[in-house]
Amino acid sequence: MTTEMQKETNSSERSARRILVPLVDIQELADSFVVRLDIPGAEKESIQARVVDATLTVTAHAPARFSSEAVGDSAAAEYRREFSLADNIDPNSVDAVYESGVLRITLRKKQQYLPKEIKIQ
Amino acid sequence: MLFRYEPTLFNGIFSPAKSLEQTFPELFPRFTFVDGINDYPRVDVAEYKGEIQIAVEIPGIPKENVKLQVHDGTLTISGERKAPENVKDSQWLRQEISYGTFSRTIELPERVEAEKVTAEYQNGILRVTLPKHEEVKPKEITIR
Repeated sequence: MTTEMQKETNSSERSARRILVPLVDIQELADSFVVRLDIPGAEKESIQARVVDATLTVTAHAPARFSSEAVGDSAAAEYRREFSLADNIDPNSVDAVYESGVLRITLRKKQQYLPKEIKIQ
Repeated sequence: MLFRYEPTLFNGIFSPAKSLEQTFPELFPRFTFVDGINDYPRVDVAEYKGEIQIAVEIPGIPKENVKLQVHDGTLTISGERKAPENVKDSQWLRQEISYGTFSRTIELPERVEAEKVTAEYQNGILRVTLPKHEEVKPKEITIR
């Protein structure tokens, strides 16, 4: 989670859609990382968070905020942001909770990177 | 009629000295915002049939922490976004989201029925519907 990449989206594929980059907070805890993304308007069913090749990709769909009758082609929007995961993250540990327009993702550190208590004999 | 407010990652230091509305008032003929363009929360405003519809982006804020007030031709949205609890042995690697109290006042373009204003909160969006006052609604006149 030390570096972050914003891959160029394929323009021919996505030209018709509005892509929004959500704001994020990233917090490192002793045993995990917590990522919070602001994705107001996103529908829960549309949210995807997946790890492929040590890259976490989060996408979500937010429908148009007003009826098309009211504002013409006020487009729906796609949220998208990618993160390169550091070596110490277990890619199989992604856990996500969505509430009030905020997606909270927890990524656990690999066992060997966890702090260990050493007993003093 | 709809104005889109694009996000600014670096509110404050890099925000323009003057808002767009102040620089180009002719572009904003009807909806004048009392405060600056970069202020929180971001809003979309639309006019449809007999209503003014406003969508306010307030992710992460329970509706109990938001207050709406219609007064003297303005709508004020205020509240607080509470910071996540500080966890022991934690450190911030990135902090783009702002926390704290906020207040934004939007000047309404036409008189509204203050008693009939409704609002609902879903997925971080507060949707406010303000029916126009009967006096300002267009009326069809029958030609005799």
